[in-house]
Amino acid sequence: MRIIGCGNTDRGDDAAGILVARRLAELGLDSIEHSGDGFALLELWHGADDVVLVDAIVSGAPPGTISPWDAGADPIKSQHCRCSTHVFGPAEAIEIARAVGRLPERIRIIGIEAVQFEPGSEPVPDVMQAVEDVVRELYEQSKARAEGCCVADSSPCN
Amino acid sequence: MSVETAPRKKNGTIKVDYMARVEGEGALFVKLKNDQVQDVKLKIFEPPRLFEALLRGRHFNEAPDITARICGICPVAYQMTAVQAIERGLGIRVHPMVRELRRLLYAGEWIESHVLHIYMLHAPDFLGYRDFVELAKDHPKQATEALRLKKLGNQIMTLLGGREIHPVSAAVGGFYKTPQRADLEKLADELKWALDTACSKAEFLAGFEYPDFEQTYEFVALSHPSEYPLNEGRLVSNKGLNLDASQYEDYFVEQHVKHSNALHSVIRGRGSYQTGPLARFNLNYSKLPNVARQVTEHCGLRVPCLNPFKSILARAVEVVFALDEALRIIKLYEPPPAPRMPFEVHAGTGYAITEAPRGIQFNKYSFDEHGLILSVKIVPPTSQNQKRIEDDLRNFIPTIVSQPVEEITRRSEQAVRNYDPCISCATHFLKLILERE
Repeated sequence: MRIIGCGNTDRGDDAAGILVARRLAELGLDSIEHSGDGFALLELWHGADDVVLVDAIVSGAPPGTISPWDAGADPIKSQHCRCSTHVFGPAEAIEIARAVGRLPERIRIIGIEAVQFEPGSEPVPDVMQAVEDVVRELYEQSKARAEGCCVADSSPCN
Repeated sequence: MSVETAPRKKNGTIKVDYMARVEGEGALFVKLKNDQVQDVKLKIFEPPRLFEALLRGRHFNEAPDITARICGICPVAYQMTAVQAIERGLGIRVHPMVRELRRLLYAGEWIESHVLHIYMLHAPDFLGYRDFVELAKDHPKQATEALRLKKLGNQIMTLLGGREIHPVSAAVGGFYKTPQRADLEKLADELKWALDTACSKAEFLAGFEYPDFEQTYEFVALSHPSEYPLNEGRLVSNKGLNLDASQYEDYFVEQHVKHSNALHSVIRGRGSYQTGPLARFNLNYSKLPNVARQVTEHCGLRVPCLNPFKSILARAVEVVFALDEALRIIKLYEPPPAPRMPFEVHAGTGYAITEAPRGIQFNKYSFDEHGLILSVKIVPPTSQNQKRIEDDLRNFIPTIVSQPVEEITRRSEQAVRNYDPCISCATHFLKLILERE
């Protein structure tokens, strides 16, 4: 499972994805912190069969609401992930990858509802709580998957 | 985008709140009376960036890294113009191989920026798609190749600049680190694929339907005796300009206009002018390598080309040039004796002009005997083209005024994109307001 946390730690709630990736790394899981540039994402998930993308979203839901998408099955609404006009973001990257046949076999997006993006500000408490909830969920999924693999191929667990 | 006046009327307002597929945030206001254009304003409301003030009091060695933060698409243009202005102020001439490496770094930026604009931002206009995602669904091969070409431009920037966005290797006097020959040779095979692909893709672009629209322009670009311009040359125009960077302010002036946070540049006593790929192409065609000239011929592009919509073809020709130039440099490269030239710090003032993907960029740096920056002036290409974009629209909209409002709006946005405006650089997203009275 390739976990990519997108965002900007200097822009309030936009830090959510990065903080998830950072916290998972502290727990010993491979995870990638990334700005969310769509072109680079296309490269980051190249060759992976199971990708989880965590990013701040704005859909109008209450702050900290966690919204999972099976992006492989359902097109993502681009406005939910778009914080910049400058570059293609995660939503565009997924749809371009789908169009040109470069979408990973399984790709999920976990959106954390954001409410403020002030430069230099901290994420609001509801978003921080959501970060912890997402970290716990992904950690458990990853652990269960690793244990499942070990059972399936009878190899010893590290 | 919102269109306020849906029914066709001779007078009224079209309003595009946020124009997509441009870099930065801005709006366009067009006022029509009896189908005649009364007023055009390119409104840039992205807040001022204040980089010139941020640099004052800093050591000039900090300038390349600070100015690289001005833009995520064309950071090399800011770095290169800054270091070259400071080097002129210090009287430094860099090692010839350092100069070649800088051209290679700049070529990488042209490739990634041009490919981004051609295929992801502008081509959807010509093919009637909302965006690149829609284009990719119908033309997956074109889209996949474009992504690979762009990636190569970014790879060149990463190799030489340390990272693909906001590179960190450029320094006054050279680079902090220069590559080994083997590092560059790793790019050769991909560059050869890219050159072949860029040539055939230019013919795909030539098949687009181009509006029949020509203007009389003053084209302004750098000119070098033996090179297609990137980082050096005299500033010339098709109306007689021929000057050194130090004379720039004698001929060009920035004007504040109420509707824009970006300054408008004009030629004193003459008005708007065009800078960028079409200007470079028209003024420097003879300096293009054979392969780029062959592509020009296959595309049916004539010199001079006065149709701003064909700037997309000039960009495609420049992609071919940049790839060929990159291969040339890689072939001849030998590491310089030292990455960076030693120099004495002293007070000075230096000027430089380089060719950013979107057009010329002028920098003037003054610093004291300790190297602390006293004043900076940065004139980015978008603020230079801004008035010309307004002039184009003033003349183009009457040719499409009988069409439905939605079509006028779409075509107007396409006309703005002819200039690949980087509004973030110029302040510095775009909305169109068409008002009929």
